[in-house]
Amino acid sequence: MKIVATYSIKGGVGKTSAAVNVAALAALAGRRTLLWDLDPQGSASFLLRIKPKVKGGGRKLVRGTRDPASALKGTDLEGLDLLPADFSYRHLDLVLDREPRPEEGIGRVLGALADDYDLAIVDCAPSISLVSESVFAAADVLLVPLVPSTLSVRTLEQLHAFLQRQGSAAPQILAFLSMIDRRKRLHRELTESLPHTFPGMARAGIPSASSVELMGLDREPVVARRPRDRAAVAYAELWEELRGALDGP
Amino acid sequence: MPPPVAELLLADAPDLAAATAMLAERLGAQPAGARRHDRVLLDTFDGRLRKAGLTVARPAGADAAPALDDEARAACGVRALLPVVRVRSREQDLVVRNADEKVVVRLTAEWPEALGDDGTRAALAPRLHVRGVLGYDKAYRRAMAALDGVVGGQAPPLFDEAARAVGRDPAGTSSKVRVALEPGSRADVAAGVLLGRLADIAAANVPGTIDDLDIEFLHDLRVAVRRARSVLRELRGVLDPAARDHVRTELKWVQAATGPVRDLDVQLHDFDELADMVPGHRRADLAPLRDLLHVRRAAAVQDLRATLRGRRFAAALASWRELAAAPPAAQGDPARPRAALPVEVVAADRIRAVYRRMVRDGQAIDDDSPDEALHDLRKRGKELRYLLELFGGLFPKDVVQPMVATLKDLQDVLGRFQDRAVQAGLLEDAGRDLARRSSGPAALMALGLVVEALHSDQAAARAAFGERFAPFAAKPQRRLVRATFQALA
Repeated sequence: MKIVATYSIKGGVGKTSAAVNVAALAALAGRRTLLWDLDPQGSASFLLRIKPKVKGGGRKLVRGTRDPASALKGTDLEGLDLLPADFSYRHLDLVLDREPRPEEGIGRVLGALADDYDLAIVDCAPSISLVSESVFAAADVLLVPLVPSTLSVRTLEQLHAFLQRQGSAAPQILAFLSMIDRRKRLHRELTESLPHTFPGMARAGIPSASSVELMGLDREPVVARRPRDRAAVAYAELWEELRGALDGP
Repeated sequence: MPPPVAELLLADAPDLAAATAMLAERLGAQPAGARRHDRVLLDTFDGRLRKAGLTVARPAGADAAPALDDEARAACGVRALLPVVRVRSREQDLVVRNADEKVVVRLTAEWPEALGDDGTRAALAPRLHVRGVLGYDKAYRRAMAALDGVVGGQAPPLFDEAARAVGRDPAGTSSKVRVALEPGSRADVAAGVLLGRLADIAAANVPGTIDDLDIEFLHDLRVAVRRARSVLRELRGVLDPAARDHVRTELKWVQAATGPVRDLDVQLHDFDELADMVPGHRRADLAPLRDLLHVRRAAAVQDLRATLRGRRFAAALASWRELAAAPPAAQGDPARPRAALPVEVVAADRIRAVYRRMVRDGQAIDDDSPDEALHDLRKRGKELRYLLELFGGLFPKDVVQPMVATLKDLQDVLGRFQDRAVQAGLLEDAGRDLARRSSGPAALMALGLVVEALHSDQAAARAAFGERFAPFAAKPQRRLVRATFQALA
């Protein structure tokens, strides 16, 4: 099972939308896919119409006293299952801190499900914490959304530097521009230049589109509800690049 | 735990629209898409997928074999997937949603029909597939409770129903003998029953061998012939001598004519195992050898087809069947003194005799014995194995089973000894062809390594002979055989 984490240090940049749509595309492509909504806000769970509740909370999952398989929920898309969010995930840092090897906590939970899925996508909470470090340790690829701004570029550089300290076990980064407004010059320029200047920058970029915002009302991935929409097409391009990163040349 | 599923009969619904309306009323189910589903259900000739509880289909009109998962691939083994029956369905998907409009149960109402090869259509029982959604078991149970008494019970497997509707046996065609002989029945009658069944098995495997669908057709055909030869050889004095001699001659010819393809099948099937015998960097050098074996096999298959389509084979099969169906011997027929004896009496005599001969010959084998001594012992071992397979049911299990187990252990070693010799011989022969090719030198060097490894494995098999022979020929075992299988005067 390959593990992908959608990660951003700040919220509201299209991280959860990317997680849900890429997971849906992976399932539509025939991969047995698991989405873990690790964000206590439970946005991914909400978008998939699933209650953000795990009996025993994150503590039992991480400590291995609750089988994660018993907490899984099937989504409306066959082939895509969800390990839902739980409000208790906000204390997951503390739980991990009490474990003997905190950096292995997230990998342990996913390891118990490795035989049943081809791909796990972890939608992380926006922060830098023990939880995110544990996710970095488990992930093969980090899918990092960036809003087109100079500050975002700096954030990406910082993330690279942080992961370099992890050495060879560090996940590969696949960053992509999100919420692109092509009416803005800076957005257009960064869309053109970044894939050439930064290694690990996806060519695909996700537009700022009402269809993505409408996902909150539809409670369904845009790639399933409006597959021809330009945002859905952009997610499909992003999934193709992610697939290439996962499967190799 | 995968979500629960059920396949129920839609007994009372007159059509798809009525079923959809009923499900909307009973479960609040919403239509979610309709389609025509036209596919060909597949299985191996001997029904391995069905036996493993698996179903594999390919879209009607598609020639390509479907992609198989690991479980299906393992179930099929070396056998090819063949079309069994085409099924065309009209299907209506429905979903049951909860208060959050989340799908919690999936349904598919299906109106199927089986299509025969001649275009005939047979309506099959309409059915309702109910599929739970992971984590929503309660909703599934509620749906099943609401359907209780409204729809029928568990639907029969669609594969079975469709196969039967077009006149096929859903279990496939078995090449197992499975003839239960009655103790006390006349030896000539029992021989007739066995020979008849074996002729059926051989005939059933001829078309697949001619079409070269997979390597098991030829193998099963040859096993049936070998078993029939064994029955003929061992049941002397039971059948008409002239007819018996004729069929024996003809079956010996069939065995010889089918041998070359089988030898190449084994060679190609075991090729990767052979390739593993050489160091990794030399394996690629063996590619020309594999190509050569394929070329030789293609030529041998042409000859085999000609044989199996020829008059002599048809006549051999006809005489085989004729002998199987021949009337019992007249009382006191001097040419058939054992015909009227109970089958278990004749079989016991032969089992005892072949076992004794094996013990005697095996005990005489030492380090200086020629290879032929082990080859001959293996042939007798096969004889004994067939006798025990065909007639073992007539004797106590607690005697037959350990006898089969020690025999099997012994035969494994003797088989390895013989197979390695045959493989090395075939490869050395192929080497002469390879030497004439441009890619020859590298292939020849790699081939030399394989042949050397085969000889050394053959030597290892020979070294293991003693320890495998000992339990087979141990004193208590010999005593048991003597006590169970009586000799005829």
